[in-house]
Amino acid sequence: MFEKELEEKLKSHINYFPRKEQAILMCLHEIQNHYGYIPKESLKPLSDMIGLPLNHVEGVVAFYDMFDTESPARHRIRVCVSIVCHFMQKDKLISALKEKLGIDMGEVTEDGRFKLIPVQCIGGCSEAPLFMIDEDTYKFEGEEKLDEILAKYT
Amino acid sequence: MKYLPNILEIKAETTLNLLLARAKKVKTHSIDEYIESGGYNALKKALSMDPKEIIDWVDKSQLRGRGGAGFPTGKKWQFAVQNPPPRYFVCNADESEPGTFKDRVLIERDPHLLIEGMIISSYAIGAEKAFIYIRGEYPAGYYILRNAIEEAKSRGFLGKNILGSGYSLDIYVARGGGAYICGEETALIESLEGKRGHPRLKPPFPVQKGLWGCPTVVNNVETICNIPIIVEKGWEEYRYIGPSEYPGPKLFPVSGKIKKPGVYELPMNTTLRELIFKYAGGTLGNKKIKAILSGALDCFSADELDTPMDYSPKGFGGTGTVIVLTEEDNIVELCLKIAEFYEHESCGQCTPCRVGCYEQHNLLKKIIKGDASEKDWEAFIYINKHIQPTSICGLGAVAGRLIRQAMEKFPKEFERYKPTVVKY
Ligand SMILES: Cc1cc2nc3c(=O)[nH]c(=O)nc-3n(C[C@H](O)[C@H](O)[C@H](O)COP(=O)(O)O)c2cc1C
Ligand code: SF4
Ligand code: FES
Repeated sequence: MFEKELEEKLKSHINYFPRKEQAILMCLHEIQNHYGYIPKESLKPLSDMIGLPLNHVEGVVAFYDMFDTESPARHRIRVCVSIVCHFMQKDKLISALKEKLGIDMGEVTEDGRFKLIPVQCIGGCSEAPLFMIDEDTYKFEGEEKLDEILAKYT
Repeated sequence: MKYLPNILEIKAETTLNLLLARAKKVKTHSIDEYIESGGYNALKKALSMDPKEIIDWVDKSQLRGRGGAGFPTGKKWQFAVQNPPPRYFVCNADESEPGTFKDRVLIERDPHLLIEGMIISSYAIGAEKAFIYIRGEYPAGYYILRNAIEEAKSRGFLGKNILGSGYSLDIYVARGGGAYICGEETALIESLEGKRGHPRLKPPFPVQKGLWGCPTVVNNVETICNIPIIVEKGWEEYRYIGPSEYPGPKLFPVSGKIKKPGVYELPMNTTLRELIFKYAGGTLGNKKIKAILSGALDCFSADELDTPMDYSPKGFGGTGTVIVLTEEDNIVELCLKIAEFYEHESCGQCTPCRVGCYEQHNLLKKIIKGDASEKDWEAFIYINKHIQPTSICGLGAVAGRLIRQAMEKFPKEFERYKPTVVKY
């Protein structure tokens, strides 16, 4: 079962849609925001709330890129590695991030604070190179600014 | 609004002041600001019209879908109402084509234009439930839309018995989970039903059997934002915006090696050259243009700058996305990024697309390393040609296209990587 607070949030998504199974992606976002990833143990209680087999929920989690059942992290940094960002010096952004965090793409910092994730176009290409931290979208404006931004996420 | 994530200050300019009349300013316009500038008047007018008449106006306006395929919107609606209710209206806000960020600007800055458009569209096709499917990477847009829907409800523009007309509508917002394929309309419908985003075989088309097997119209954000404009101006006046064959405002997201990247609202008789040089300030450092990409779809060379930005066979077409690359940029490297994109986004349902996208990327990696044998080259060219013919959806149909065009238009760039000359 989920903690009360999370369960209430999940219920509100499930009650929101005309059919409860429609809430599955919303619930997965909510679970990931809560735990910093999607614990495998959360999938059975979720399937019970939605009223669909666990197998279905597992298939959905695996299909969508944003959901991570592997590594918990308090904050997810999604770095665009797509076409425009690539030609607009995304490598500078990536090496700055790697150096500051001491991790490679796909890894989590030792203190569990950040995970670095390469993603395809995040739809703000005029401001390339771009990255997201959790729900916030940022452009790269030099290392100093990057430090300031990172400091906001503890 | 209680909480809003950090959003980008994307430049937005317009010569027409229609779609971007408000959204050219970097801020989210509230319902009061929207109403003050004439918002929701089109809805009032629409509710006094017969739904059939609205469909007729949209048809006569010659509005074409702005989601990529350019399908006539009025025709799509006509097909939908031939099928019995319940019917559903779905807004495609999945915008994930590389280089495309036009819908984002509308959603984040002028959400009520979209909502007003959705109410009118739903009324026209007789839908009492409508959905917005917004990509997972637009969380701010999600909160903004949820908030705007509450605002609209509180003023009686949404919910039961809208403005006393007897017509009722609810709009639901669903978030995606990071899958480009869910922008394809049947994959989107699957995802909206709470499943994996696997495209369905067509026919039946969504207007026949869409959400839960019911007739469903899927339209793009920008398409829907044209609807209040058509209703307010009338189709005749709308037809005078831009060229008569391709009327209406169009948004062009411009990015890459360009001085003033951003979203431009222009008529469709604008040429690629004008867009790049007259409006977007020309290339960074005044470098020579090498290639222009319409997202991950088509590749144009500098010889094609006089292409009109319309839906004609020789026009730029698609979503209007313009990515500019200059003489410094490597075309084979570009193709590698394109191949990487398609490999990553193929849903894996059909063999030619699943295997083809994987192998195309793999072989291109070899090629760019200089490790490709003549056999690898032949395999690469063979695969590139054969992803397309037997795929279920449009992704497989275009996964080899830009790369093939690049090979044809920039043969010298590829020669450098070839052991011996291989003919395409
Ligand atoms: C792989 C693929 C991805 C697509 N992505 C989008 C998208 O992100 N947004 C969109 O509006 N249409 C997208 N489309 C087009 C839709 O299938 C559909 O044609 C469109 O939403 C219809 O709206 P319109 O008639 O208003 O253009 C995509 C199509 C394909 C094949
Ligand atoms: S063509 Fe590709 S993306 Fe489309 S359904 Fe087939 S495998 Fe999936
Ligand atoms: S290519 Fe990076 S945001 Fe579009």
